[in-house]
Amino acid sequence: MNTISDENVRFFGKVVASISHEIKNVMAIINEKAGLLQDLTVMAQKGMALDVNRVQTIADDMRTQIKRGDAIIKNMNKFAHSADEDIKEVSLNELTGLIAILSERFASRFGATLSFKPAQEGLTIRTRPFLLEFILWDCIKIALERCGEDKAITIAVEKSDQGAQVQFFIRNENFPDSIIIDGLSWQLDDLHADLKVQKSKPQMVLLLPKDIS
Amino acid sequence: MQPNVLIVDDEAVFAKTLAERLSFRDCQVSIALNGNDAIDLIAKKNIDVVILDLAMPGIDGIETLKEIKKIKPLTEVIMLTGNATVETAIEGLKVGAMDYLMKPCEVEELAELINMAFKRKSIQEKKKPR
Repeated sequence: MNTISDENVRFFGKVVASISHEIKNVMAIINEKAGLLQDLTVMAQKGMALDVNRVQTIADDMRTQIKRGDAIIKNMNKFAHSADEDIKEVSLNELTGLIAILSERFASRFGATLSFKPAQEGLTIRTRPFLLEFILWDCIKIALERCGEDKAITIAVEKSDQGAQVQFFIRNENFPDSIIIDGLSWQLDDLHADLKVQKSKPQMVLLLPKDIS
Repeated sequence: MQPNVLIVDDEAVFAKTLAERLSFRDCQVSIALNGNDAIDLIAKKNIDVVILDLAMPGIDGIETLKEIKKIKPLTEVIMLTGNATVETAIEGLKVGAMDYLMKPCEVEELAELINMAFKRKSIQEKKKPR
């Protein structure tokens, strides 16, 4: 079993904090919508006509927020369970897509947008899911810190000769030739993975084996 | 006199609903969905009280608050935070916010704070040398 580092725990904490913030936002909207219904009821009791269509719209809005909250909690649940098993077979599309969604709020702090392109056909690899999530998160962080004026990052999953690769396309002509990844090196070793920078594109490519066992 | 209130929040649905509810409570309400738009609006309009979300994309709540206080020192700011911890809100109080509330909050409590902030601003304006 691999060791969970302080950085891994901090990563877990950051993701959970970001998710809890999203849930708070959903609850705040439902709270205001419920309050609005109450306000309209009080006004109706005072003789103002109650617009039934308006009430229906507010109820629909509340249902939309409940669906949003449910999706957030489902993602949190998937993320939490990724630490259950040290090594297992995972869908790289699903795992990378999850981290892309969980990173959206973090990206918006940089004023940046993330888009995700899954591999055309399902791609499964045998890996350490939690460690891979940590590395993907860090790659997104590296890309965000260097995404230049355009502030758009595309994350694409593809099949490769060795197994699979995750590409991070960054539209920044001043993207560096190399990136110091000291904090990531043992984690990359643990996954038998490699992180390469291609300034000409510019992009970062995370190379992953089909099976680490 | 009705207070001119600006809600600054990147959650448009939340901001619009809260704006409608505050308008039932004798407030004139405008909305900005980010810090930069809020600063532009405050520079142009006479805003008495700002309801400011702390976690926003781009320029964050604390930076927005500092800018507001730079251009309109008498404009009162009430922070709204979705964070479970209050550290950021305390930082906001240190740089000039009047108070803070946690999301989700009670609109009556917020309306009461707005009225207090409006009165405080009116007193400060009267004290200000012409």
